[in-house]
Amino acid sequence: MAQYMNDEWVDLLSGEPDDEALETLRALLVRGLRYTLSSRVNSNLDALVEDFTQEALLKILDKLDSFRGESQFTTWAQKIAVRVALTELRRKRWKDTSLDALTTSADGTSILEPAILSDPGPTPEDQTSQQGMIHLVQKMIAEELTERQRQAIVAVMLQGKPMDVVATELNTNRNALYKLIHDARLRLKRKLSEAGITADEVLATFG
Amino acid sequence: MSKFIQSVKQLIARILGQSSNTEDQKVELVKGLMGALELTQEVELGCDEVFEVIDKYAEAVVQGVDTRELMPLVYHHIEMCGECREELEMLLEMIELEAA
Repeated sequence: MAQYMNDEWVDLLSGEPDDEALETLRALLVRGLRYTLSSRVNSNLDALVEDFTQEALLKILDKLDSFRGESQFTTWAQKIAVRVALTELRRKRWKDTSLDALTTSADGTSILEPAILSDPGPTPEDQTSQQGMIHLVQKMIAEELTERQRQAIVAVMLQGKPMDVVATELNTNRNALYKLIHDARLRLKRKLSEAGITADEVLATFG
Repeated sequence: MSKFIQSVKQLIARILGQSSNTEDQKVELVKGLMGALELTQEVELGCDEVFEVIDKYAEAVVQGVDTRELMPLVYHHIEMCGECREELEMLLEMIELEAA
């Protein structure tokens, strides 16, 4: 198999891609995807590998200008293939296992209301008890976070939805979603600090 | 009938990996959230910034470099973000395959 230096890869793939370089890259991606996906998917491995390789090649050619040469070109190309494959797989897995239809009633309301979003009610007498801590966190979530931050935290941390899926649902992207949740975590951490308590102390009450 | 509905809810909750007991659900979220708050830093990279350098980071990992020291913000993001962690793991598998 042909081996190229970084500059050669970029030159050969720019404009009208060189057939041999393109085929070499394709073979590399197919081999890597087949090897890594074999333990991650149960069926249609060859078809998935083919689809992901094709999509990754298009993205790689499209993004050639952004390759800064800080890694091997092949590693850079492989990271794009990994992102393509895992993003699609996560969406597919969630779609296959999602029980949204079962957990949502005909009028669109959730049957399994996230309990953490319910009204925290009156403050328990012993505020250092588990109940007291739950109440404190519920109150902070209700009062400190925006509706969007609450939706994001519940979907990712409680329902375990993939970030890519939640990002699509919230009409945003994964990067912005991460930052939304980061802002929410920072806000809650500061509020805890103002209350004179650390996350570690809250955790300690649960043993 | 209500017993049937309760059973269905419990089944759904079990499939979702959650307890139908709302108190348990609250405890789990509080514990998960507090664990995340413990690791929360004022400055954190987003997934896009990490994606920009994940190839360089992966090669450093393969070379045995102390990435926590060399690229602390990327290291931290990898700790916090399951998606980016999974992508790094898969990329490392690919690099190791080619090196074998």
